[in-house]
Amino acid sequence: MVKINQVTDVILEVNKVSKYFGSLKALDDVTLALPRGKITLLIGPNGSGKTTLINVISGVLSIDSGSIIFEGRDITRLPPHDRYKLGIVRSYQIPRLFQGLSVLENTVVGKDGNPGEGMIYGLLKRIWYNYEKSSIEDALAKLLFLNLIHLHDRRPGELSGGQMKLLELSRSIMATKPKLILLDEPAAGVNPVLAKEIMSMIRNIRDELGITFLIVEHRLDIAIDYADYAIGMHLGRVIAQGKPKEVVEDPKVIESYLGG
Amino acid sequence: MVELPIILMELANMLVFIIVVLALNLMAGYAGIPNLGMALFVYIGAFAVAGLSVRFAIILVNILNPDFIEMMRVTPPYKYAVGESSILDIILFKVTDPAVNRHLVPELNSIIGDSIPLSIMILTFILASAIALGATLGLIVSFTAVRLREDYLAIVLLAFSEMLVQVFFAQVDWVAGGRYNTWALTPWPQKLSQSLGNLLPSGVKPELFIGLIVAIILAITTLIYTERIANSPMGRVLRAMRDDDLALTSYGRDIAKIRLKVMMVGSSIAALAGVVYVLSVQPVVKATDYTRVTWTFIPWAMMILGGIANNWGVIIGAVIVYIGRKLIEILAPPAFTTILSLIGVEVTGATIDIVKAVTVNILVGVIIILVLYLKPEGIVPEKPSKTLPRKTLNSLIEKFRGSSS
Ligand SMILES: Nc1ncnc2c1ncn2[C@@H]1O[C@H](COP(=O)(O)OP(=O)(O)OP(=O)(O)O)[C@@H](O)[C@H]1O
Ligand SMILES: [Mg+2]
Repeated sequence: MVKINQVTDVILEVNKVSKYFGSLKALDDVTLALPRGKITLLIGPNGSGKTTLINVISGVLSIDSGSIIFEGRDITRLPPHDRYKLGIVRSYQIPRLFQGLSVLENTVVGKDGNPGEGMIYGLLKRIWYNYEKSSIEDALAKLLFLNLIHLHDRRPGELSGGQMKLLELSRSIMATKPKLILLDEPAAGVNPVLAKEIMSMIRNIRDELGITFLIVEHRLDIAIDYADYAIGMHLGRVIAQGKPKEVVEDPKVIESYLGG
Repeated sequence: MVELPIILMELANMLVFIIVVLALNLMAGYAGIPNLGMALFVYIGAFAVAGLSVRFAIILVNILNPDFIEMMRVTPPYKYAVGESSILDIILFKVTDPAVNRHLVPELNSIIGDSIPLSIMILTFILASAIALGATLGLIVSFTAVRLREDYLAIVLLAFSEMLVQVFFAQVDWVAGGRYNTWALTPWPQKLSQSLGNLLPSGVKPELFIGLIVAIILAITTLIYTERIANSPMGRVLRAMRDDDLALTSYGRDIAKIRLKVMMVGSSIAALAGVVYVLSVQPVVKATDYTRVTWTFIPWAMMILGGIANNWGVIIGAVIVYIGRKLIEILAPPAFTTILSLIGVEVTGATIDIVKAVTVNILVGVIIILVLYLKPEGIVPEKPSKTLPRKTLNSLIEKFRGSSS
């Protein structure tokens, strides 16, 4: 088996990371590396620790031991908003949408750095107007692509489950200068045609902007053609990593899906 | 027929509630900080005009007139209360003593009134200290807010407010009068009051009129401020923080910092409302009058009824609840007296006060429960933050939708 960090330039390293929930070991001595500018697929049966891994990389959960290195910098103790500023963006498996905001507003919030976000600067329309207008244009472009534009003035509560996932995705691709985007089942509940379009959009973003992706996706038939690498997890451990085909065909991975 | 001065005073009082509810709406409605400690922030503004600025004024007057405090030791009526106290003792402890306070404040007022620069200095001090005290308390509160879950925070804020207002300020006599009344300064120049006195209809005191003008100015300023923030990128990010703060941190926002700023601004506005209340409606300041029902629960009922996170909505809520409360306070006592006299029970003044208080409590409870149950979005529901003119936004949307077909 080829280890990723032997292959190429690494953007993120996870070193011997463990995370407990009470006595449950959700991450068990996890060590892995993400190659820069590539799409890495994260697979594993339910409860294997995929979401927990995204939570600890994005800083939403703190870890019990180990370290996380992003572009050579130790970010283990950094809060989520500071990790975002370094370029780590994530989406949530169960959408965490802003229920009182419209679909368009939910998307616009995904972009930070608006000079109008202050208790005084908010009053000075001329300093934020242009930024705001281009954010809204950007958001509308994302909504158009994700087939949500006709819903721009709705509240999240009025959307279907699949549409909520798309809205969650639209926010995470709004970031100003992302380097690493972590997507937790971005196309769950979305029809296969649109799911493939999403995967090919992700590939385009990777090609154009050199952004690194870590994507959790259960439907391998949809995702595998778009991935450069894959990581298989089971019971909080990394059990395989390397080329997508190799990982998927790895007996330990197959067994983990069968044995549960 | 209700007299004009009473109408003007009720109007000023209603404007004070409008300012309080706009401040509450900024903190709770937009930013989602469950501020059940509003009474404290309003009270601290009242304290700034009364207990605190009296000390500033006596120091200032003593600088201009170096014998002023010395003379208090030998001049009646002060000398009986002041005795041999040191100057520092007098400034710190004696000015709030009712035996001193009720003579000292009118005297200071007339000295201040004679000098326009002094008036301006005192007024500036009052406003600046109210803002500073409000902002400091807001800062302290926001530190706790970072560590606590929303429901715990609400209880902590309620307890914090009750502890400071109803225990500390209400029981420790020297700080702000404690169990006794203290009088607030009226920092207006005499010339202004006199020339107004000639213009105003008889019975309308110049202080009331000036207080009303100040209330109008502050209410309009607060509305413009909160509306502009609400319709800026800040308003949107505050609403997002209220809905899901964890998600917002994942989009790069430092929510501790945002909470801190909102609490500092919101609390300062509430403190200014306290200043205006004292200057226009109630110059006698006593901590126990700043109850959680009047200054916390009633503003909450106003906000919930009018529509959380809608500035115009909460103003409508404030007007309705204010008038409703007045009507109940007027109508409930005679109604109860009549009913009770039918069964042969005689009603005393103390009973009337209890009847008023209880019916107002019931009103607040009924409003909150009914609105949350029947129409949780309130009379005027929340709207998206209008950062771009509607026409611009619509044409952008059309441009993108057009390109899809
Ligand atoms: N906040 C939490 N508290 C307690 N246990 C948790 C928590 N989050 C996750 N777990 C447990 O940790 C383990 C890993 O969960 P995780 O959500 O990371 O799995 P997953 O691989 O994302 O699964 P799925 O495919 O179902 O999304 C599971 O056993 C789960 O029950
Ligand atoms: Mg998961």
